[in-house]
Amino acid sequence: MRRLIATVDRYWFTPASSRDLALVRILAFGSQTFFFIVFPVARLRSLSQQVAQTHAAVAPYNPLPVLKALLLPWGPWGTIRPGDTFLYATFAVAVVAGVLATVGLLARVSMLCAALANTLLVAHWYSYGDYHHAEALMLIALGVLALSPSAEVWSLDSVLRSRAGHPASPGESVFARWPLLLMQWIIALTYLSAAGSKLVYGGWQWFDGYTMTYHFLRFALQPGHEGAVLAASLPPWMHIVPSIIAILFELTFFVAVLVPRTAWLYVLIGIGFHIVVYETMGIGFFQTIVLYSVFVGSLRLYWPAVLRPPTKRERSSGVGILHTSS
Amino acid sequence: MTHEAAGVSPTVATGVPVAVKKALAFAVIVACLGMQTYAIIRPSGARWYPFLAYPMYSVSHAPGVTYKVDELWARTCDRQPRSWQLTPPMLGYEDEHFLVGLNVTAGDRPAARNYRALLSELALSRITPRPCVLEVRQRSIPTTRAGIDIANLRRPQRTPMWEWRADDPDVVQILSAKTETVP
Repeated sequence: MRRLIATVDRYWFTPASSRDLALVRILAFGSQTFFFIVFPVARLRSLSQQVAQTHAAVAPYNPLPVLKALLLPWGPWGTIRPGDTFLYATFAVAVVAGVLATVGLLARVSMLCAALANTLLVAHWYSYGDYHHAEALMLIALGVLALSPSAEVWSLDSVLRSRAGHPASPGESVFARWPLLLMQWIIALTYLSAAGSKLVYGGWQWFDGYTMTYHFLRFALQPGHEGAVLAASLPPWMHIVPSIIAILFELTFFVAVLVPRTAWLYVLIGIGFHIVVYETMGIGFFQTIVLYSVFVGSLRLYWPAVLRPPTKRERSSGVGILHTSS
Repeated sequence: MTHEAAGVSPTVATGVPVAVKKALAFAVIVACLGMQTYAIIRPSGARWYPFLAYPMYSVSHAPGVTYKVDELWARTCDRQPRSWQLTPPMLGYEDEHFLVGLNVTAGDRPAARNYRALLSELALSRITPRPCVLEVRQRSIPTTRAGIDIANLRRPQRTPMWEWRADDPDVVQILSAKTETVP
């Protein structure tokens, strides 16, 4: 038992860089506050749309359990329906707390408020019969970051602490590793789910190229998507190899977690994968691209020297980047 | 070993013991991984949102599959009837999924009738000129070994399926399966 506890302790709580965690905090809360809260999935879903949703009898209100849970302080389980004033207030909390969380001021409280407010807004949006996946990982990440010491450094809180004479953070913490590692595993699980579903529900026929053509076609019918039109017009056999690559990427993504040396490759392929999928199928998972930052530790250690931009010193000394590998 | 030697930040080293904090963090880890795994193994829609399964686009399609999509059209009943396609934003919805249930609107079930009534209400209150008939047309595009016919995208083939009077969603008229080309 002691051995097991020691192994768990070593895996999740080995001292790690607080700066990596802080970087992810800034990127996650920053992107959510300044971009995704207004433009999730690259489509405008502004506050006014949410408020309109509360008024119109366009679809039955079917609150998600997480929304019911978040609304518990205001009434019994499942009986409360947010009105426009409530949504305006929640949106204001999400923005203000999101900005504070990004800069790391009153970080403990602001991160929690931002995470809860964003979850409430998205859960409300999806409580009218239809839901999407793009925001889910980000909401989990915001919650995990809120529970972690992600504002120990690179935050206004840390500046104020040091001005008040408190000792500066050592830059490493035993609690800096688990949030990033947890998100890595959750991302890997979601890819595994996507790949497993294709194999279970689609079978080998999923690779025949016609399946991809079909999905391109769905998007090509909407005006202005020439990339999708082009992809759909190609002979289906040309989609067989991309189909195999997509499944292999999803199926083996967990290798990026287990073998940190490979993370850079998966991150690069993943970014390309999501951009191409967005261009040809209209499926935007930009939040996932931002969340690849949880691999920052692996990327910092194992990013190939040939792909690294030259430093100022290297540029001024005229040393080529091909000769800088360490 | 002191906390400082172990790389623990001072705020962590003070207050709640590190072991307790680790136990709480580990509980969060187990809860998150457990819920995510459960949501994948036992998919149940958005019940555990934001922990979800990811089965989207997993259904395969056989060679030669025809892509079919139902569209909602409005028509006026004046001397020179005009017809035009209704999109979700025109009806107050920005989500394209709002009209995916059109294929059931010809049915007798209460849900089909309610959906027709809802579409009628939205069309009558939001669309100008006021339509008198709502019609479902089906657009279909076959896939071939050579890909799809681009011309079919540029000049869509649509088949009128059924229609109902906007002010009387109880009566549905099934249309002949003629195909027309709409520029």
